[in-house]
Amino acid sequence: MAKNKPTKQHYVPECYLRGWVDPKTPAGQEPYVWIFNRGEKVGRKKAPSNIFTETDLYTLRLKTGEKDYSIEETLSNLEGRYANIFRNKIQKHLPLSEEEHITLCAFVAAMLQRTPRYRDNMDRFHNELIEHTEAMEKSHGIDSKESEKMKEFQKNSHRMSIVQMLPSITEMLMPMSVAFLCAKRGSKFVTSDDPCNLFNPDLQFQKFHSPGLSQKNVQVTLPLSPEIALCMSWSPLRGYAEWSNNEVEEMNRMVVGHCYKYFVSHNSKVRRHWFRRYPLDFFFILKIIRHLVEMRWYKLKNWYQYGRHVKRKRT
Amino acid sequence: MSNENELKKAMDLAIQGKRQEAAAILVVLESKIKEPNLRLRLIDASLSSLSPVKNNAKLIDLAEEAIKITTQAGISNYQAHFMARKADLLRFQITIRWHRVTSLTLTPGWIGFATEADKMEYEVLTSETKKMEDESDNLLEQALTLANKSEDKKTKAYILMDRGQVSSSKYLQRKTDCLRGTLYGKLWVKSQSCRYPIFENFFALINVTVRELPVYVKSFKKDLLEAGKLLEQIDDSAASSAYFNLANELKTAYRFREAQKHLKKSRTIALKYGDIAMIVKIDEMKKIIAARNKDVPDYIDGEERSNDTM
Repeated sequence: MAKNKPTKQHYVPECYLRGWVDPKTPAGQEPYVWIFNRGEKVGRKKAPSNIFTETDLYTLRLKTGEKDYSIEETLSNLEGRYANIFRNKIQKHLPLSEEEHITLCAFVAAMLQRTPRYRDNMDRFHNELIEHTEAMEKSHGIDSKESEKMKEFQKNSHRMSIVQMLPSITEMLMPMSVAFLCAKRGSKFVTSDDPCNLFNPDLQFQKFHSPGLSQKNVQVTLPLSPEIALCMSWSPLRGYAEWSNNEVEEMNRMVVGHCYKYFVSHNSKVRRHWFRRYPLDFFFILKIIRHLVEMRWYKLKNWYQYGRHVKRKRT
Repeated sequence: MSNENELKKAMDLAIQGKRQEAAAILVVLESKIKEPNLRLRLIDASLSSLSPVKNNAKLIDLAEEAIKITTQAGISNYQAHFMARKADLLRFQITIRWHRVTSLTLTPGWIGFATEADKMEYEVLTSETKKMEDESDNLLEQALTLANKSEDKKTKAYILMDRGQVSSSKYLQRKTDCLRGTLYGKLWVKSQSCRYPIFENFFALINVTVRELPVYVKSFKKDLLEAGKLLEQIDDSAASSAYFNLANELKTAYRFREAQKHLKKSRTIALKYGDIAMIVKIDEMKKIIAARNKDVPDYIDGEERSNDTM
């Protein structure tokens, strides 16, 4: 009997999404999660098997025209191993063995890269490169050999990069501190279509640098279930720790703010706090004010040094 | 120049307060000198000249070697002295391990280890720390018994100085334990003014460990004062060092007024014996006390000061 081809591929694993199934699902009905559009407060019920999928997202197209599913198979193998670890260890608050730790890091590494946001960012970058190359070829009057090569490369670039980058990202994640943040009774974590978030508080007031794994204060967060979220960092934040309701809601605000198109909750209720741009924290507000004052001062200083000598053009 | 002369030169440099120059010579001589008497002098000079932070492991080995030599030769007062030195040096190893142990469980609301590697590291470090603490306490006890038997006031004074420093180190360690995870801990880290004893007693009374803190302060004050008095009785210039060390430990415990009082005493003695190097150190310490500990080196991060203790 021919094996079913996995053409419908999840970019957020189904086994992972099943954690957010509404516990109040009526008997006999397929279990569902609550999915919300980015920025919207009204959600709809969907079965985890039907969301966050794309056809042939990880399918390699060979030169012969055949389709190769080895990336999808590798990812589902990894998801299976992660699901076991989550069920047998993380959910029971037990320490992970070295092998399990590696699997968790590999799962996080895959989650960082496998989403449509990552693919779209890569495509945008490649498209710009191709456009520049084509423009140069045109202006120099040479044939479009190079740009064609790049177009060919772009077809499988996202798929290939997942496989190529997975070992090195896993290796970078391995020495980081691992913390499982356990929500106290009363609040739950939410997730999204791009649940793995890289955040560096040092870079939040600028747009030039993006967060990277080797930065001192970077943190990789990933909600693993409504009760537990993973946080990897270079700080001494490690172990299983109880997270207060406010801290959980603050993390949810980050997840909702970072989502690409959708976020997912285990019930239909949303919190106003999730949609706030800034956290409601006195010290953070002070930081924002300080930053604004610094920026104004910097602009004024620049104007005093250079700007005041330049006459404005009359319009 | 013969090894003996080189060693004498290094010891002279150490007495003058030029510890780095002395240490450079002693490191070279360490592999050359094998004769037990000279070796003992070399180890003694190394223990006072080499950095107790940078060369801690090496100094522990040297102290251990000196204990063996003195035990074989039956020189009980020297044996007691080296035992006390080793006990004091072990505190640094204990502190480093304790820092790592606490950082493994530092997360607020911590309930368990995330990885087996962390759990194993915690268990190994805890058992090593316990072993070292026991060894340090036993060494001090044995050293004091030996010193009391020999009735050598100078040796007893030096042992008491080491015991005082060990108590001070224990005081700091216990204080760190009290601070973890509490609001007071956060304030203590952020603000200098929260580190004064009045705040410590007020905010941390609920914690049982905090009640132990004054006991440690009393203990190191008693030991260092007794050491100073013993050295004064035998008319030894090291009495100045005893009071200086007491002032240093009191400064660390944010008891500045008392520290100034003992520093004054240390200066009077140093002036009496014309100990210029000591007077320079006392003047530096005066500045640190006047600045109310706002410039404390981060030893864990590798920072060091040459004139912290004598």
